[in-house]
Amino acid sequence: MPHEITQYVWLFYIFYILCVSGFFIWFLRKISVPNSSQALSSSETGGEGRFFFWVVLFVLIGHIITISPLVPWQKWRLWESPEVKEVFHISVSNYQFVLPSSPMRVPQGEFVQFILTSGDVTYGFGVFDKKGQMLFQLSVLPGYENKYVWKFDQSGSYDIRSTEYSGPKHSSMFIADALVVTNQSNKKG
Amino acid sequence: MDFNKEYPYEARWALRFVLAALGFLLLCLIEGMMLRTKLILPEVLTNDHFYAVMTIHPLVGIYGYGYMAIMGSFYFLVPYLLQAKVYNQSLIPVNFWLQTIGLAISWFSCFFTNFNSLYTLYWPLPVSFDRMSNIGVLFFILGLAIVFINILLFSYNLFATLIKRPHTAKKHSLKNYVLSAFGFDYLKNKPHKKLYDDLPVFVVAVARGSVDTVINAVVLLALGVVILVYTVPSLMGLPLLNTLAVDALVYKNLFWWGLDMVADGNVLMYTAGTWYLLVPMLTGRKLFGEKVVRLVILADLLISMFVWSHHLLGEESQPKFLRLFSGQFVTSGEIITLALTLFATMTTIYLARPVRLTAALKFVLTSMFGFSLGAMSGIISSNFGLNVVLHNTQWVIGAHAHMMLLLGLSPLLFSVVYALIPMLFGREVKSQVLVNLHLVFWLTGTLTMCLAMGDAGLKGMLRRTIYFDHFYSGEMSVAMVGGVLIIIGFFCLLLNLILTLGLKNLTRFVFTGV
Repeated sequence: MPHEITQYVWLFYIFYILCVSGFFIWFLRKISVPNSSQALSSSETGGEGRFFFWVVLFVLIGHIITISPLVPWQKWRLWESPEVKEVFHISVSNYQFVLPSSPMRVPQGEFVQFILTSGDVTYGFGVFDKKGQMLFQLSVLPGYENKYVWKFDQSGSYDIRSTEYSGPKHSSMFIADALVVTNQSNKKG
Repeated sequence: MDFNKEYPYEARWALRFVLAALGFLLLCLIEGMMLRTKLILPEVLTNDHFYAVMTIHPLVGIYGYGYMAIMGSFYFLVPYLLQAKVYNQSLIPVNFWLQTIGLAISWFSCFFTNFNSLYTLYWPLPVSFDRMSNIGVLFFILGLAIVFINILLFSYNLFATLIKRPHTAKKHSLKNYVLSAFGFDYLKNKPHKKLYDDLPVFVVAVARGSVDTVINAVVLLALGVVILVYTVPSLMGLPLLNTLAVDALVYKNLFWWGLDMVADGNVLMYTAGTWYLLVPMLTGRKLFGEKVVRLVILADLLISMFVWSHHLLGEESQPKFLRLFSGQFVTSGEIITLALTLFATMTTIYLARPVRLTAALKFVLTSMFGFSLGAMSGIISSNFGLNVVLHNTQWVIGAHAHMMLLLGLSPLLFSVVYALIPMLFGREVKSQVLVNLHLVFWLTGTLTMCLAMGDAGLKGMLRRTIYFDHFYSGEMSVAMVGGVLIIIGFFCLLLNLILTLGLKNLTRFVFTGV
């Protein structure tokens, strides 16, 4: 799911770069030849209103698409308050994650909540699939209960990594296979 | 005033600032290559050293390279456009040396103590003395304090130049200029109505941008004091004060509100102002839609007050309203103002056709291209939904931040260099071939580097993280190739400056100012 979203982002961005590049190439060709339109050349204002309208419309469409459930996790992050099946309390201090169990077993397709606390500095908590793709992340601020609700669509093992810099040993805050997502219905069957 | 025959005081210092800025850029490029090497070959530097370089690298880039270029250019251009002298000329060398000394102190604190809290200084990491050297913190903060106080002096001198200039029918107070900067004169018929409407557009952008500059310096100075309050007792051997007495979330909000006055504030207004100045100058045509442009600068200032929360989209403790309203919706206003700025300046060029593609104009157009790309990736990052998989990744720092700085801001600064040379010395740069090589290497290098970083980020590579298993070495190697091209481009510029002005003259100028 996050993998598909990042692919869409990449495709959109490359398409955007091509459009902007194409426009600049056209523009460079155009400004190198004399101005043949006297009417246009004599105007000092005008056109900004229409241009403003199209830019605002483009931005609005972007907002509508990205706050809608077309981005799958927006459904439960913005529009619903789902009931969580399981809660995992994780504490972090001195560059160490302290997990409630190793690995943490998570039911596939169910909402689960992670509650993280820090005993010293700000850390991050990111969950990654085996290809390195990040599913989600949050900052773990000291003095706060940092909560996050997620639904895992795919079964399998997941790694966790601190996503916020916390000092020179930050990069070693990695636990492979910290989460195992299992299909409960298959298990019952 | 004939700048070709006599080199006024401001002009000489402008060039000196700009040359020093290029020195800081070279240092920044070397640091960037060191960081990249570590990301490809994790065994080459110690982690402490790597993060110490990462801590100082953006500060050298912003407060060394960026601000030195800005100070030099504005000290020359603002009085030139206002037909006045700089209010306090003796402050110009003070600004030059304080900026250099302040940064040098912070740089050496990172070099000698491996201070590595990063420029973000997230509470309470800078005062976590099990991870940071307290001596390092002290000198790092003192160095930055000198830089910020210096920036306040510079802003004071700019505003004083504006307020005390001759040939004005009526004098206005600083308070009126500040109120007017926020557009209060559009709400009520105040005596200072249309205060900014009579000024050149470039000066309006500089003045409004400098409001953000002052806020940035004041807020970061205040947070520096908080850090010192915890550091000094530690240096005296006293027990560490309770770090939970400072709320990490409130601190982070304040920090980003202050820092964003640069990242999403003055840089956009200074850039727009420089475009508004250079484009009519280079094309010989009046700026298209000047009335709208003045409103756009005002909008930029107002937007910059409310966008900071896009840096806190990963904080689930931050109120959701702030993340959505400030983080996503208000931030997207920046792309609207940028688009209108581009519309006005590009229409001016279009109406002036055929135009001669001088070195300065080529780099102006390149900067417009770079800001167009960097702004879009930034807007994508600041999206509440997409940020879940983009926050803290190489996408943010590569496709957005470095794209803005290297392909947006840098070509603009280069265009100022190329435009200033004929103004100051009455001659064009020596080699057009070197100009073109500079452009091609810089453009392809930056695109290669930023897109490789963006690609890695979308695949899950975090920023500020060393992958000991060489997981992203491929993407980082491509980024390294981009870095090499950028450096070749930089040396093309340097060689051209040497050929144009002479190595002896340049060296003498940098060190003695004559």
